[in-house]
Amino acid sequence: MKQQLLLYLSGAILIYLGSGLLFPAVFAFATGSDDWFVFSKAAILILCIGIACWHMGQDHQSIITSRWGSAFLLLAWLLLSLGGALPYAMAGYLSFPDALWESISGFTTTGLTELVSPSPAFLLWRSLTQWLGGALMLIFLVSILPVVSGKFGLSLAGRHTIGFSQRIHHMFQLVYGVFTAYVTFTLLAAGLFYWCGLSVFDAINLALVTISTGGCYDFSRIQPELNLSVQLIMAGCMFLASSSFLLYWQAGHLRNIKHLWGNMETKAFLFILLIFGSLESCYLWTHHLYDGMDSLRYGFFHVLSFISTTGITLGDIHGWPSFSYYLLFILLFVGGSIISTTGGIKLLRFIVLFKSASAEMRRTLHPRMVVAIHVAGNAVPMSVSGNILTFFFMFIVCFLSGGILISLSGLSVMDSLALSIACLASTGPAVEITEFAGGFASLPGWTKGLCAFLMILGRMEIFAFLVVLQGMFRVSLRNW
Amino acid sequence: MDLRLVSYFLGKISFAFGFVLLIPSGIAFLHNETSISAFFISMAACWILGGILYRTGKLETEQLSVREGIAITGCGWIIVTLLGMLPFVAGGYLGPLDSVFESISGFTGTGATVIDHLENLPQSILFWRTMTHWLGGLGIIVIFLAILPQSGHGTVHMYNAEMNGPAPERVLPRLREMAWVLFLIYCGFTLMATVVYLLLGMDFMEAINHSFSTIATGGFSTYDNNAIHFNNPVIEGWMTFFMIISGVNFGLYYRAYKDGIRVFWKNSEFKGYVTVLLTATALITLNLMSGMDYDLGKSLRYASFQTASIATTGFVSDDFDIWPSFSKYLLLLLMICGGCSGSTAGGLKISRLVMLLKLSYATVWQQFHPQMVSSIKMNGVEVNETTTNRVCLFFFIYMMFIVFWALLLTADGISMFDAIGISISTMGSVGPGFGIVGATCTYSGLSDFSKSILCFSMLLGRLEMFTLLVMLSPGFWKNKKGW
Repeated sequence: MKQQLLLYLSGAILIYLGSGLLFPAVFAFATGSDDWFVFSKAAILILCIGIACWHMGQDHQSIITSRWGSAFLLLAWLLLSLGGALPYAMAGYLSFPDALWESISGFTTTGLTELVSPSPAFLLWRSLTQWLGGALMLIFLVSILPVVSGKFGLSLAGRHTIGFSQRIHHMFQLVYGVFTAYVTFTLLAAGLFYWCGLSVFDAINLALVTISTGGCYDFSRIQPELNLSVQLIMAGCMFLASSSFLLYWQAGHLRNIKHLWGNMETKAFLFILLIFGSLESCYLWTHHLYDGMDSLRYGFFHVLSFISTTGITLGDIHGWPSFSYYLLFILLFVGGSIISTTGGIKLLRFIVLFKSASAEMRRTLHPRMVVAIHVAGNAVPMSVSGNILTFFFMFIVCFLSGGILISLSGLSVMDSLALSIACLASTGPAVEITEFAGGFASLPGWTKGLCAFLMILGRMEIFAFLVVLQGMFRVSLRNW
Repeated sequence: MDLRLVSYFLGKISFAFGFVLLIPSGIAFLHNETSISAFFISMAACWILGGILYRTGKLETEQLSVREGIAITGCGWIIVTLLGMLPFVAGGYLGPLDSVFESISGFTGTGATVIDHLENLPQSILFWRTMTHWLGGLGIIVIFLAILPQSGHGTVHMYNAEMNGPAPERVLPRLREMAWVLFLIYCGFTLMATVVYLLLGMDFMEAINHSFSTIATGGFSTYDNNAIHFNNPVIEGWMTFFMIISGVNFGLYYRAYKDGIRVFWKNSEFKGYVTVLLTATALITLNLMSGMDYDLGKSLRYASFQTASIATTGFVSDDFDIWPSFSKYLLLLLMICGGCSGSTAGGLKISRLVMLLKLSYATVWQQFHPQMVSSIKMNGVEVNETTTNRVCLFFFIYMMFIVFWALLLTADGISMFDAIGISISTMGSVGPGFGIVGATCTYSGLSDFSKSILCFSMLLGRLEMFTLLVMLSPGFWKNKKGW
């Protein structure tokens, strides 16, 4: 029974969440804060439900189809968000809808927040939600998403590395590998931050939010320590987080570092980073906003921040010229590697899109020619490139539709567009580039709900949600 | 690539163009205007250029290949827009860059003007402006083929290179007949519009200018404040009507003439077009009522006019810069969307939009039936994969260009939203934008750099990108027979 599998997996998700809740509980207890009670309550509740579900779903089949995979994805994000909202609501920080919104924003690694000066335990929990969400996204990318929306480009990513296989054992290998890389990077980053002078607490939190590309942290806490070395490490983390995690596992597996360089997405990423970073730096410098070294620093850092869909901004960027904002705005659509925690359309898809476009150009002269494009030595079947094109269209439609609905709340057109892509590409703090930054509490409830929906839609790579929608539609038709 | 063949045709086009200039010269003569000398200089230049090209060219074979067809169309457009600017610059009315901009804006049917004070210009020059709309609206190649029919197999490549739409379709077997029919319908509509405008009280020159601009879905007016000048719901209503009919596939009109009205209801694109217009009008009307405190009548009047206009022409009847953001957003989307293929409107074209939506739906549906060979149908006929592929890629490249032009404009210092608006507006041959080039402004405030960029943008949009881009590839001009 497919429902058994859903129960089993939901149980797994809840156990994952519950375990995550234990960390702030322990931390709060150790530092003597009163919050430990809230976190422990939430943790125990969720763990109990989780274990129960897991147990009930023990006799499941191990095969998941596309429809059930999509349904599960939606369920997973909803469960995580609901569970993750409990601490905020129980402690009275936020009303339940707002807590839910905050939780969704965390788990989808968007990073928009309504919390004002939370206590340390809650600060940790907020950073942890981003980290847990990022990890889960990576796990989904190598397990369920290839089944659900593999034809939109994931199958290509899998093919030229080791390859996605239907064998469960192989899948678990990938999951384990990707998760290990993620944890390793986080620990490494935390260590480096500590070494650069941040307190242990700040180091861990900063590592959690940069490796997950969430980007939401109380930067006023570390303002004095935010020197060049810390910024460099943050940039490094965001760079690591945007590259293919599958590649990391493969490099580790094959003990071959050189493998990392040959990858098409990595090359594209470096290329874009170089071009956009230089453009941004030059423009900032020629417009006398900063001197030479600072322009380079600010230019590259922000380009990296936005292409990794983290959204961290250094200093006050409110006075920047429109070109600089616009450059960053475009980068939100690009995103990082396809097997990473970043949002956006992803590099691999853009590579295929541009190659298809140039091939089509040639077809203008030779209408009957059959052109095939190649990615990393493998030919891309016409159906896959067609699907990627459709994905691009769907993404733009969701972006524009989200924006137009948001504009009903009274925001200007540009602000609506910025908010829409910030949510869809799970970037969040990127709304700094509009005049609207920080005014979330003032938005009507339905707008916040819409934003939350866009965040989940982006994480589900749109298509999975449409499958769920169509599935529900057919089910309701059948029951007429 | 037979360059001499290309040169021959370009010569013919330039020469014919010189004769076209006789019409505004005639008007200048009638009104005793000093611009007549500017027109004579321009005519002379056309004939000289035409003569040179004609002489260096040689009609060895009447077989045009795809390459030559594209070259003739692409270069033809560039030459014609450059010749078209001569009256402006020869008479000293505009500087060279501004003249090129105005000329391109005219021929591509954009209607973005750099002239701040139209009342200072002589009637013949104003007439020439809207005449550029009229010539470019249907297509200079189509008009050329209609009036000076060319023999030979390859002329269809010229036609295809200019015609807009996802797949070249023809309702008549012979290109000559097709071009002639389209031209007749075009002239017929123009005549109808002129008569109606005259009956509504415009004087002769006003009526002609505005009917040219309406049927060609251009957007030039003889008044600085565009259609706001009239402030007359009846005139606006008729303008709306003519703008809407100009946005429909002209070939469809011929088919309806032959097979009856039901042809319209079977056409997916037409249905999509009507849906888009009705939905947008309804939404904007509601939004204006709540956001601007207009009453129902006023909202409906402005909404319907502006919806029809921004999808096709670019006339302005109200300052939409002060409209609530939801309406402005809808207008932006309409600019991208455009009118039907095979019409004088620009933009992405409704047929492509319909195909893309159907494709998305089919892709989701395929998830439930993986073995099914999914295909989409337009007008009841199946669309093959290469066409859908091309449509998707067109969408992608179109978006990329919008992003690119906006990038260059922001680099020039224009604010983000304005830049995006201008980019979308010029690529879609609409005309007005937001903010700095808003409903009540002109493009004169832009820098030379921006204006030059936009010249490219307008041409690229009108010729649907592929034609011009392909000319840029190095292998295109090589003098090789076959591949």
